[in-house]
Amino acid sequence: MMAERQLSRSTQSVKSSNAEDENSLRGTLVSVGVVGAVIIIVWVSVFWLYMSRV
Amino acid sequence: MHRLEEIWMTLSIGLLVIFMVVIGFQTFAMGMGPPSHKETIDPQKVSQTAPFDDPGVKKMGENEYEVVMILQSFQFTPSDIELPVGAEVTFTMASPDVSHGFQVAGTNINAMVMPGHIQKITHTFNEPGEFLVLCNEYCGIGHQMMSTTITVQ
Amino acid sequence: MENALRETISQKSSLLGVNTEDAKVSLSYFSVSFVSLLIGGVLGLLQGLERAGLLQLPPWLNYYQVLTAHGILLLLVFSTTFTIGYQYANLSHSFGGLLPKVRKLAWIGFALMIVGTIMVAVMIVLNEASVLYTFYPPLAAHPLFYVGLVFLVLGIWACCFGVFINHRHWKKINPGQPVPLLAFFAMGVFVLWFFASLGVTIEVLTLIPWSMGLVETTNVMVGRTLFWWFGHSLVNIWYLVAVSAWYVIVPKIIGGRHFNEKLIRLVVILLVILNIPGGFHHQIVDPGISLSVKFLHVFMSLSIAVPSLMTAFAMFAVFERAGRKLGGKGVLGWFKKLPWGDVRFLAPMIAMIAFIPGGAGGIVNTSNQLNQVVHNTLWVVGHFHVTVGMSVVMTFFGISYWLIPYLSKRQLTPKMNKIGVIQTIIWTIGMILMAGSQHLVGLLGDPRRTSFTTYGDHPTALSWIPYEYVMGIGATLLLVGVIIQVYAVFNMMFFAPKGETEYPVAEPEDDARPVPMWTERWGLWIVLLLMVVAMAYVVPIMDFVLHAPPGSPPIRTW
Repeated sequence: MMAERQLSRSTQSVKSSNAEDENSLRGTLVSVGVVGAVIIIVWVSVFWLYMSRV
Repeated sequence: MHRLEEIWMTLSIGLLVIFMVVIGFQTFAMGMGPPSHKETIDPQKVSQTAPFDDPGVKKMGENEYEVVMILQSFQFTPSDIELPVGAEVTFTMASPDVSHGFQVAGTNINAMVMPGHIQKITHTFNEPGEFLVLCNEYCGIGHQMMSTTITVQ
Repeated sequence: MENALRETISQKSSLLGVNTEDAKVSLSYFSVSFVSLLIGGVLGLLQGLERAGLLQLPPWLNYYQVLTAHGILLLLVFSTTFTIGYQYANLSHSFGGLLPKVRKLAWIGFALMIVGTIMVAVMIVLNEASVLYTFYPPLAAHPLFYVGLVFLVLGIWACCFGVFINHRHWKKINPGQPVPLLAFFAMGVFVLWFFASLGVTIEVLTLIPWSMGLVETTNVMVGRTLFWWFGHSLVNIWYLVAVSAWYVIVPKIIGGRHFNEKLIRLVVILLVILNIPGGFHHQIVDPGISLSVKFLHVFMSLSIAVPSLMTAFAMFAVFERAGRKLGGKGVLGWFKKLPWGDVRFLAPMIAMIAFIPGGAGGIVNTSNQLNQVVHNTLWVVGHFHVTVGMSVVMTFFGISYWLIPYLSKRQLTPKMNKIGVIQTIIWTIGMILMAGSQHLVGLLGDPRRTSFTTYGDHPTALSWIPYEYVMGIGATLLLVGVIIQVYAVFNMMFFAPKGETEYPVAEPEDDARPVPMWTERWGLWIVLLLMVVAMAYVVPIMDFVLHAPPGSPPIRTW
């Protein structure tokens, strides 16, 4: 498997797929945006609770 | 690294930094850090050591109180505490046996009380009411009965 | 040695896989694992119902006994044995078989762990060790409880050394080659495990003479700190094990490729190096630790989030690429194209999604004074049921649906897949109900580790009871989930139709760059790990020792 893997790598045409890739990872950016939003919502809620009890 | 990944990592780490700045500012500039008192005490001689030889509610100043408290399986001494509205109270606590947790439900009062260490936490009771005080660290078979109240009026 | 070499090479020339001898090791670990899950799960339900006041335990069994056994069986025995079974299978698969002496070490570890578990379990059943999973001194259990824990740790170490020996051997006969990715994960897991267990080993070794009365007192804060050195690292070891499946197994199942290997390896290295100090955030409201030390630990704990943030992006990218290959259109169309009906994907996918609120909750817990809102409340219980009970355990469940039939040379039938999907749904709903209500009622102040109580019918405590009912309902569903899961595991082990099952290991993208060899400098990572541990622990532990109060004698309050 190791050798096969290296072979497949060495015979790869060196193609830069950056432009196409960037477009196709938009969904990923949106998804991690949701992750960030959850982090903010959870943290701010508890922070708000903490401040309301000070 | 992918450009979008760089954006995500920068923003998310930035978020963590913001959280740290907020809590760091509160801790060091506003004195709102978590209970971290550093005095020690002989856990086997708590009731002979001042101030714990005389536990109770002490008036320290204008609406300022100290509650010297012993947490022992399975009770708080003193218990059924009464305080006036707006009182700024410092709880000074020690345990002669195992670890206990001092929590007043619905407030930010939450501190570990470990044998050998004196713990302090300060809170201002701005609202009247009967608050539930409970032990939130497992301390034995009667742990669930270890509670009392603080009445603010 | 020579023999071993020949054996390894001859196996290597055949196709990679797990040979029968190695399969026996893994299957034995899995058997113990899922029996523990069943017992631990039953105990979990007992607790859930008792906590809500719906069930009264008989006089010969108290809540704290049940809680101690639940914690130790699930958090120590179930996860440990599953991890070893899975990691050793990965190792055997990646290296083309284990060395005979490594296999022997795995069996020695197995025997040690069984002995340890039995000793611990007997002491708990006899009510000689109702000290909970954390066994904080000066609560003093029977000495044999601690001796049993030593056996458990020795068993883990035997498995650690097995991995290190096999890894070194492979490097020697494959000079200049990067180890296969799954074996790289295994190294990370066992390196972290070894160093994480050092702290608790020191603690337990001091508690044995103390509980026997040979030493009069013990330093409570040192014990507690050494415990959390281990305690939090442990859950992160389970997490790292789950992550290995997320990065390497799941992409293959969905027909995709794994993410950039350099980044994956970087995530492993960061998790190994940064993890151990994370335990300190369990002590944010402790006395005897200065605010500046605590804040240093806020920083160190939050830094553990960084590799997980990298993982979040990487996994979504893998899903998006695979989903687009399957014809997903638009910004989020790929999401629907994923194989939701395949339990091997569904279970770990929900596990990953659960880590979003799980990780967010962790960031709250470690945020210094915000910890005062949640410390020792049911919020924390909800938190680790989402992180361990969902993110880790559902990944383990997902793994079991292909690994167990693979090892027993049987098949995952469509019917079993369906049972798995139903199990996953029941488990998810159960956890959402239970952990969700625990999070909410924790914010209201309901304490953890407390049997049913109304605190003298105090209105505040009475207002928590509806949430505790929901917890009880969740716990009931979870036990149903446990029963289905255990049935599935033993069915796939002994009764499923014979056949071949795939060992799904993802390949790199076609344009992937070669793996940087600097990622394999384990000596350096260990030095960095030790430096981070020193940075975190030297000051507070020296402080506890140099300014120690008179110690505590053993106390039994149950």
